[in-house]
Amino acid sequence: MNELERHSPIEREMTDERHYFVSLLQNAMSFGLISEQELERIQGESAELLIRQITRYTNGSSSSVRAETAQELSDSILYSIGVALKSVGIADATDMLKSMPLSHLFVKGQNGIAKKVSVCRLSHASLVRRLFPSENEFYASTVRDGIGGFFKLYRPEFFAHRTIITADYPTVCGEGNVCGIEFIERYLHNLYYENAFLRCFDPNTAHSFLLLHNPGYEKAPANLCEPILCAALLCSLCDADPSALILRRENFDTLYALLDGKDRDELHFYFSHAARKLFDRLSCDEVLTQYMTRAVEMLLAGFENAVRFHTLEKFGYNKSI
Amino acid sequence: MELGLTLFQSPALIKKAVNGILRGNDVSRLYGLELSEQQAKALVENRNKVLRDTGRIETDSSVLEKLIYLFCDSPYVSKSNYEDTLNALLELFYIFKNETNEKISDDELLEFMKTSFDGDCFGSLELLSGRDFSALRQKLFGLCDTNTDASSSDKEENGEGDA
Repeated sequence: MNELERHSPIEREMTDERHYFVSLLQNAMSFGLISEQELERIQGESAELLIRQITRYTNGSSSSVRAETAQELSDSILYSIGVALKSVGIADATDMLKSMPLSHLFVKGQNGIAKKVSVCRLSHASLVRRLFPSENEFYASTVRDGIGGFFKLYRPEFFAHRTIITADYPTVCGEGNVCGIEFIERYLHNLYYENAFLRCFDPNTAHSFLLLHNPGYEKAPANLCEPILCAALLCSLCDADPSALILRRENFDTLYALLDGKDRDELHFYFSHAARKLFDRLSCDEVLTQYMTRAVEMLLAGFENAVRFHTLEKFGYNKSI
Repeated sequence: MELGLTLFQSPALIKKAVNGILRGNDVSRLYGLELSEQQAKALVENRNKVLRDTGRIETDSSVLEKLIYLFCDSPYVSKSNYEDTLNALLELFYIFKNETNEKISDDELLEFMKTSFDGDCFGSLELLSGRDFSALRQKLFGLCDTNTDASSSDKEENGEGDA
């Protein structure tokens, strides 16, 4: 919650990101913020909206559709209203539910979705132009064709909630429980920063390292950023050159000497310090540093276990040098 | 909390549908046909059942009302079979609506049913549902009398084809 946001007894964590409108409404009802009468109005207006959408969908030529289609049209309406409600704080969103006709919220949501689509198209084009060259089959194909295909097939006016993409390539931070354009927005956001991080490394160096880490990486739907980040972080921790991505036996000896017997807080301190040093050395800007710091936080448990069980070598032991 | 589809079964909408059917009596009376409120309610209940059985959602009761206006002047509809014929026609309408993957509008399908029923079917629902619907199916899809491809039907319905 930012400083200007009004207080609400409903916390963001109480809501369901995927079904935001319905979860907000349920919470508002349970806190007595919305009356039975207001709920009845909202229910009536949601049925009217669905009738309107079915009529639009059939171009007015049919008064009935299959139940699955009606369900999808209904989900799309609820999703669109959810997008409108998410654009403001929870207290304001509750007020909007009480005071604005659902049809207005729907239009507001559809406009919000249209804006998101435009912004995502631009950031997709920018990402494709600056795509890190990789031999991995899934990276370029997902970013170029997968996301490109989404824009071709996405029909927000009727099916705004649909995530028409097989996102084979996973990101380090994940996209959370969202769908439709919100999924693509987060996916592109994550890909953008992970790609920017990858571009801090020489593609040939990265390729050699990734082959060492996983000989089948070219054909695996595996994240490229995570193994590179882990290795670079360990390099930073033992004062090796992170851009070379080479960890020798003596580097691991140094790392075990440094980290053995340290408790969780101490380990977190060491890794956080090494991450800051790494991002400085790679000249990562503030927003990239923020994203990558979040990525490091997600990897800390794995490092903790690797130190405890002496398996840090799995992050990239180069025996040949 | 109910939002969306479940609200289509609300008592208010059912009452509206019954009133719509009863308004149709103004025209059908000219042909000696009339539905009581009880019969109108039964027709709406049957429509809801047929919609459930065929997996469809309807936004209003316009099809039922149009059936009444169209068929009340049929030489093959009389007081004794009026309600049963409407129920049967309604069922055929929704079944065929599913089979045609929305390739035909409500009005076009109703017009086809009326022309066939009064024409070469001589009021036979069997001929309408068998021979004449097969002919229409063939005209729409260019297929022999077989079921249409289910997968293309799903694709169409899921909005990947033109609405």
